[in-house]
Amino acid sequence: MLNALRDPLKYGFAVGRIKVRETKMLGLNRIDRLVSASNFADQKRILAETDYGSFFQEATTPEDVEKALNDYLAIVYEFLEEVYPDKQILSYFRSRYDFHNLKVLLKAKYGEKTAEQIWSKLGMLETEEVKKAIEEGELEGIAEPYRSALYEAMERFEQDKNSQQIDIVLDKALYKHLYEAAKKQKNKFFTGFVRSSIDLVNLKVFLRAKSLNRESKFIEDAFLDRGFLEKEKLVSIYYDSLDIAVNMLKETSYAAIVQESIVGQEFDPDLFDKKVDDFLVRYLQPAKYIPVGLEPLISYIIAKENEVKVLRVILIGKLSGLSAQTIKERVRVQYV
Amino acid sequence: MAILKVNPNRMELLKLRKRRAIAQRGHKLLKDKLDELMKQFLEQVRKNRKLRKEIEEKLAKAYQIFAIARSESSAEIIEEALLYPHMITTVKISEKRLMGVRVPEFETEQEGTFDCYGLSTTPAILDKALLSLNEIVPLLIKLSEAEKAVELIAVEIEKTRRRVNALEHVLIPQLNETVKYINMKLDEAERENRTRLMKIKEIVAQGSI
Repeated sequence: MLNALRDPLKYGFAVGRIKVRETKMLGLNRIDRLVSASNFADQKRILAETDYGSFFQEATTPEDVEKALNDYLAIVYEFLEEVYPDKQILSYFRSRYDFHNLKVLLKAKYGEKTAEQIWSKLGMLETEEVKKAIEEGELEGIAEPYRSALYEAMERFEQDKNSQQIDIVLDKALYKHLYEAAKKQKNKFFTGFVRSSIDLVNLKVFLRAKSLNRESKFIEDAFLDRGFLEKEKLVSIYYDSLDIAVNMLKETSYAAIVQESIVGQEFDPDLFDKKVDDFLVRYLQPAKYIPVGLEPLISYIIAKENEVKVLRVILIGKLSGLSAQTIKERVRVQYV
Repeated sequence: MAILKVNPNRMELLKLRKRRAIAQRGHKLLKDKLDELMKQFLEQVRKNRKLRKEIEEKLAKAYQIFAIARSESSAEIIEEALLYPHMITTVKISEKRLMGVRVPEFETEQEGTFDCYGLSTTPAILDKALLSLNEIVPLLIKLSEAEKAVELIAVEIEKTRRRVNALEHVLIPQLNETVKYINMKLDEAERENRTRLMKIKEIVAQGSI
């Protein structure tokens, strides 16, 4: 009852703006045209009909496409900030880029490389300042949760000089932060989404580690907390055949994703990420019909991120000479 | 054909005949070497072509998988994943002799694993792309070894062919000509001598009458 009164006030403006924007999303029809376009120039012509058009005017190389897509995402996040200026929500979407930058900074420091060209500009931290802080070993000025994640990552790297540890620690910290940011919204739909994402990441780690012949200790370490699935159960069947994993997941909604990604007795990573993204977008789809609330708001932003991902597959795929068939297989389910 | 500048005497003739015999023997040996080198060369080229084709097919496939991985996530993520690799590939270079040609031999050793990145935020297909590229690296080194060998054999063939040609078309004909010239000179001297002797004999005979 209380929600019914509160939500229109809190989210009414944002959802109103989003409903208008939803109608401008690419949609299957345009995506099909983009996939079957004969070259990048044709794709640009199709994109010119959309709000992506102005970002791609000068683009000719994969690097230009990356830049255009990143610029576009920056506008999406700006829009989010404008319609719903909530720090937690914004941090939910943009912290992943900060964590990416932390990884880059640490790896560049330990590998003695310069890597400014792969810094993401979509984060919220001042990368230059963080770089200086890391170089000087003065992390006190860095905000949480980044600071403690940095300390842990550095400590773990110092122990065994394995750069993978940096990624593992920071990925875990990222998902912990995502979960907490979602939890603060007190919205079951949102936390459910994050927890499902965590499960799917764990399943991905499980299957990839298995095909890379890593030891079970590796997944125990790399698994994320706060998912729906019990980590311990997954660890206990790590050395068993994949059928057992499929059987164990039978009751969950992830069974199909895992089952379809197993060819023979081996994990085939080919379309795994697409299936994961499709699953998550399908999870979000009902939010379209919620007239007002947090659900349509976050779903729209995630859907836009997904749309950018699809565009990347189509545009970079075409520029790299992938066949239309290969690209089409990888086009994700669309929110609208 | 020019002849060598030698004094046309019996001593030189003997020397030249000896040289000619050695040159002819050398020519035969070099020609045999050339034939064998050619055989080896063609065989190696055939092998290389097969290896190259196999590698090119594998490489095209690996590149395609990598292109997919690259399109599935942003360039920054892929580059970050591969920023600090911990697999070390060492190439030991030694030499072996192939028909007297010194060709390099590469031996590769790989230490550590190629997955130097977190598995949570990178696309799953990246593993497949790197696995196939990783399989190709030793093959590429093997191919470079084989192609270098072919190149060196080709240089050796060229050198040997030039030597064979020099012997066959320059030195041996020159020696032949010179031997012939000295023979003619010696014969001429012989004839002169004989005529002189005959003349002396005639004078002596007249004087005695």
